[in-house]
Amino acid sequence: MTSMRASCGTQDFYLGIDVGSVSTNLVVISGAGEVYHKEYLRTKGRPIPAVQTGLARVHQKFPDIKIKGVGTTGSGRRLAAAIAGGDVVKNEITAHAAAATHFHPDAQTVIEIGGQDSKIIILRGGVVTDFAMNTVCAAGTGSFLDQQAARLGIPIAEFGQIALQAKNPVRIAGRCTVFAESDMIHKQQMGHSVPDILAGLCAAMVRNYLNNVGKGKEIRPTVLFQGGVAANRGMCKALEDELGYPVVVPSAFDVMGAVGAALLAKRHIEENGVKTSFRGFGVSQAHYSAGSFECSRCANHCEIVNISMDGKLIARWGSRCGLWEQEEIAYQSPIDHLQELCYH
Amino acid sequence: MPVKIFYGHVSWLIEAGVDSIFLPRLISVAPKEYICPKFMGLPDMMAAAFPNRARFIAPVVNLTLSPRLFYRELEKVGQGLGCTAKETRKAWDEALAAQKRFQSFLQGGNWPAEYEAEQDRDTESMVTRPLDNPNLRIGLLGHSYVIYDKLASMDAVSRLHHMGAEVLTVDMLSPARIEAQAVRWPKRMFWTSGRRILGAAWEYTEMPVDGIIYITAFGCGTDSLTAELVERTVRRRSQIPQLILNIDEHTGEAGVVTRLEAFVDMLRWRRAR
Repeated sequence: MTSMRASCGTQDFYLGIDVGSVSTNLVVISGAGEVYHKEYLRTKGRPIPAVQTGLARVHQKFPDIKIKGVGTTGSGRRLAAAIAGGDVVKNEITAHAAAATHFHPDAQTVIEIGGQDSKIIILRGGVVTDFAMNTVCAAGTGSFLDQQAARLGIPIAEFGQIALQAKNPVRIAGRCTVFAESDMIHKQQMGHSVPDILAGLCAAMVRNYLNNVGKGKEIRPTVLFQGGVAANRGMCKALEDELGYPVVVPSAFDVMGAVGAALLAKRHIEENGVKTSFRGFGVSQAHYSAGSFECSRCANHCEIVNISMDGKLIARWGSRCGLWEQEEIAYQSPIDHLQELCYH
Repeated sequence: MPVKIFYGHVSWLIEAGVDSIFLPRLISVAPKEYICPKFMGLPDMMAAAFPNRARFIAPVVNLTLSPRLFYRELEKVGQGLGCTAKETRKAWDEALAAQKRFQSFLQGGNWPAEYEAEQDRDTESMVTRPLDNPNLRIGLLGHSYVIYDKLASMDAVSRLHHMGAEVLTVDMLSPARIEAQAVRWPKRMFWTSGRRILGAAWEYTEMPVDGIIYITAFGCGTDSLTAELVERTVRRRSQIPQLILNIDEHTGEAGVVTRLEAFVDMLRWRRAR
């Protein structure tokens, strides 16, 4: 690692940015496709400063680094691409699948549980054959674990270790987190130990995940478990107990989306021989502002968003008819070159 | 959700100064078949929501009963508008012919909004077309008031067109083929729209389509059964990947966009192998 770092001035690197609801992750991968550096930040409801802080941190650690391409993903992928100058804007499913098959070509199932969403990706022979995401309900995702850990006064980092100490995990209703919480409180007032309750909660979340997100899917090993929740050993154990075989937690489990985006950017740049649109690390100092207004040209009343950098409009979206996107701005909407960015 | 959108449309009409609204009470449009019961209640729901604001002309359309009763309903509408029975019959025949023209226009692979543009040269077609040389073909399923409504469907069709996919709808298939496929189901599906969707799903499995997308509104009663049946049959009969897209009242597009993009990526990825 140290020798790699010493030579980073001459090597090519690719940047992946994953702006999720809870965390914003930045990853630098080498030209050989190895994870070189990762930054994990909390989005805290402000995606623009989160991306800027992440960029500043990468720049501070590696002032000479040469970024050849940028890929963005996550629910804030368009925003991240506008700020940093993205070459590839990819949905989370494709990004996660790309990263999973890169490190584990034999993977047949990817289980991803993040802050507010969870997904399952079925792979056969390195190709996505089916996928599903959680619907309106965020039950069974990281946010709920966070909330319950806070309620019990346990740091989230210790949650898993404590759950592993369980002797007799209790049965908790995992269908809905509102019911799960009242069930947990009931169990605690009955005198059950904290480890037993936490282990029971993990088991309930796994059941909920498999019955909702994993419904009707053919889960086969090798199973990769990724996303922030994979850090929780209690969740891993509950998943293994339910499936009946071990699951693999990739070394970059918490930033796999960003890794996938970086890998897709690398592929795009290499295959098409194009130059990156990366705006440079200087953007971490730029002043970004996002403003919105309601268009009143028709009854749809679309909310139009303007993203400005140092007072200059750089991106705009939100209209259903495409009117505002075309006006006054020469920014190519990422969706326009989706076709060429297709994974092959 | 479509019913809520309907309230919006009626409210808009009334605010625009309309005094009479034609809103047939649709019960059945084919023998031994029914329309979703929410349609039956629409005239009452609107009359309750907008009392004394407009007149609702709501003839009962129930073709499981005798045609004679249906014509009597039509004549009543005509009388209300000051027309003779003969004039009403003529208007009905013309309406039927117009409907047939419209349906055959759709069967030619066209979209409803394009029909408007063709009828009236002043109207600009808001319909997008796939990019040149679409290299994917997607069979779309869903009720017409969901898939053709850009707001409700979060413009799924244009998004697919943008991604270079050709999109087929139930209305583009031949009614004879849909019917031939629908009768193959072991149990008779008695909702007209559901029956057409099932027939179309079966037809898609015998056509060169790369993927099937079913757009359904959260809480739709008939779809809760139809979508399940479609999913199982398609899986049993073919290798065609399918996506069930549930739309609700979220204005957030992230979920829909991510699913559509991932689905299209998956289809291309599969094909490249």
